[in-house]
Amino acid sequence: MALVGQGALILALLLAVWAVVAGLAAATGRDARLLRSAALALWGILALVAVAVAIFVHAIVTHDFSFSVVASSTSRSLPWGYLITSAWASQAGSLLLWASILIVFSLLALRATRQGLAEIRPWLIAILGAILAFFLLLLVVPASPFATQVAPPDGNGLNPALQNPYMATHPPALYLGYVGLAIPFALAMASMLAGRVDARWVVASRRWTLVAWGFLGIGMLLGSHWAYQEIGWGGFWAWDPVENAALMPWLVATAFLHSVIVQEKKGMLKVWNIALIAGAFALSIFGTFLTRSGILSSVHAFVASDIGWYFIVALALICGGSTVLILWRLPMLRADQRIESVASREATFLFNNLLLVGMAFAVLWGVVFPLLTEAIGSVRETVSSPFYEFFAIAFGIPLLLLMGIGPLIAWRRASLVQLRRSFLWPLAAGLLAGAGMLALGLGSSWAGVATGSVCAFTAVTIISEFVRGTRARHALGDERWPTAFARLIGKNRRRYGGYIVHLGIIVFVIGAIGSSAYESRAEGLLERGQTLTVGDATLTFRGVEETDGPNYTQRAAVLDATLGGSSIGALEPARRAYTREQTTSNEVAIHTTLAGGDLMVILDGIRGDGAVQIKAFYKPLVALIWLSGFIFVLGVVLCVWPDARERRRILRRYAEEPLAGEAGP
Amino acid sequence: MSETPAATPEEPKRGFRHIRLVVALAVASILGTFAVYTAFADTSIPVLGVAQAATGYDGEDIRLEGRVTKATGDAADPQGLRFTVRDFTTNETIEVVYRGSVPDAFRVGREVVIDGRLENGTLAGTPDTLVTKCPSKYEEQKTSADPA
Repeated sequence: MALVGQGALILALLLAVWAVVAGLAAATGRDARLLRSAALALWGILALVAVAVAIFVHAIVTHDFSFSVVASSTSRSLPWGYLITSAWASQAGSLLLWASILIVFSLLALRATRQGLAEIRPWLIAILGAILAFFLLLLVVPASPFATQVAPPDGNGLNPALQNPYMATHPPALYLGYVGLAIPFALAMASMLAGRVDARWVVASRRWTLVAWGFLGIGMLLGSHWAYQEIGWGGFWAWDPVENAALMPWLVATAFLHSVIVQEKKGMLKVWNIALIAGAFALSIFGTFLTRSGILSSVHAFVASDIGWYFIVALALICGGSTVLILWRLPMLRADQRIESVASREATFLFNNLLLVGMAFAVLWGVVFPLLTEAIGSVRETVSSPFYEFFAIAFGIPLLLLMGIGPLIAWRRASLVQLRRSFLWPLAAGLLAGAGMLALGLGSSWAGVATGSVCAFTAVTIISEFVRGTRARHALGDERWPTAFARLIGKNRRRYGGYIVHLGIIVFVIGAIGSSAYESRAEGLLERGQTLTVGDATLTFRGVEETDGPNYTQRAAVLDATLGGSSIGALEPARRAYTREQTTSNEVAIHTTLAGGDLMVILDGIRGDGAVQIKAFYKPLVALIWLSGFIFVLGVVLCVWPDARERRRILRRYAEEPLAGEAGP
Repeated sequence: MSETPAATPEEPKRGFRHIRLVVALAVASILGTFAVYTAFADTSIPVLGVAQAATGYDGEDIRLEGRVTKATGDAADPQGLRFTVRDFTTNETIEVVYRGSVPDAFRVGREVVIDGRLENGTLAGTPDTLVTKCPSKYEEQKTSADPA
């Protein structure tokens, strides 16, 4: 079976190369048969990758340890669900997932370009074929899932930290995000190659970028929740290189999603937009390089491998190729208009973009700092959390402020009267929130107070947009309030979906600031009957309980907990010893209060005489971080949801300015 | 930005010059914040192998990388977790004393990274900075690999 799997991947690689050759030939020779053949090659790749995936998953679920990858990341005692998720726990498995998602996305993108973008389709196939060929080459040569060995009686097992339900959602969500960014990149490059650099590629790529960006965002949040629950260091974000690897393309894609609005409305920022989407995709490849090469130390630490060189070459081609294309098409990319005033919506978007890109650059600088210092000196230096936190605050607070200013400021130029009318109430809300926080004794963190004030300002501007819109609909027609509200959103999904995402970001920031700037922390060695106090909570150690799980033995410290003087029952942080994997895992105990705070207890160790080392945190408002994920998803779904009216409008626009070769093959 | 007007051959208007100045100032402030912070804030520490660390970093904060060869105690121990880290290429070792969260994958033979201060040849580990590589996440070695 391994031979069949490997053969399928080799054939898929050959088809991807054919898709590139035929796509390029069709683009330059305008040969419809070649174009059809290139498109068929993509369908062939889909079928062959499906065969490879089926053989790989079959080997996993039947415990075929003659497959090296199956032996190294699974065992007979591994529960069924984790057997499935182990498919992307190995390097080869995760690359197979990359290729699988990419071929599905490629075919969907091709389908979506049938109307209005026929001229760029051959180039699009060639570029997507090249990206597919790269990942299939990795799967055929350095990271084959079908490498075999003499089958051992049992496998090594799966890292216990990965035996978590989040393994089913976090990596696939991130992969959907990383891979999704390949599509807008390919659309942008294909448009430039075809010489069609109008807003059509922007319209076509906006939804793809939103999907990829949404998955990246939710993937990061799922990973944060996983780390928060599982790793037991008491936080949700450690500025680890692998976390940063996902954050950087997300920040740049966020900038792109805002600046394309300016290009659509005003015909500005054309070069900037192409540079942004190329940067976002390059960073997603860079992130994959970071995780695969093992070049930097990380809590996600992957083994160092030669696979990194493949990514460096790919990265050089993406950056070099897109730079050359931009320079080549520069004369076509001139702006239709100019920004007239600082007090305008387009200027707000521009500043927002500068801050987002600045933040992404700061994170990139921190990530590559060890490599740079090693290259220019003999000793490698690294930066840690304070570096990143400084820039998150320095760039994040103005960004939040712009998030509030943007929706209320007019395009082109806003008058002073308009500004005063729009921002009076939000400004008052911001000042009141700041004063309220100081009055409540929360002045210990200036960043906390400043962020709280800005969040209040921005939240009021967004809410006032909903109120104003609903009131206008109610006043104009005979719509009742709930109907007016629902129709307001339904008829402007993109705009109000965006506002909902902004509200999600505000909720996230409040949760992040509350749980980090105002957390209480305590740790100590407890003997039976002794008590540890953290914030308003007390933990009294009752004893150690031992239980057996399917493939582990668990020892839990039982602690009677009170919060604000009232009992909240027993909390049982534990350590599990996995027999087959010969390792232990930390099981954090968390009690969430109605106010959204978490009492989090971690068992750091059990002494021979039964005393336990306990670390405890009280983290106010942390639940808001996880709640923000739902709001974020709601907003993204609203923005992405097909809109027949918008589609008709776009098609009308295309009909008014037809493209040569519109009919397409 | 390379944007230029489509059809405005005349001199840029006052408003446009104004916005260009503001954008330039915004870019300059972002870069300035960055340059000043990285130049003056002491947020970086050297990342050293065991052999490098043994050459004159006593009394300094460092990030140490190496392989665990011996470990006794744990975070619940009054003496903390004590372990020995060996250089990847030479036989030089450094003793580490550590209190704080111990990663699930920590054990003898694992590659670790830990922050701390070197004092008389022993590293006093900073709590909650111990990181291990986890070979079971991505296969470390193939036993008698036989590519199909």
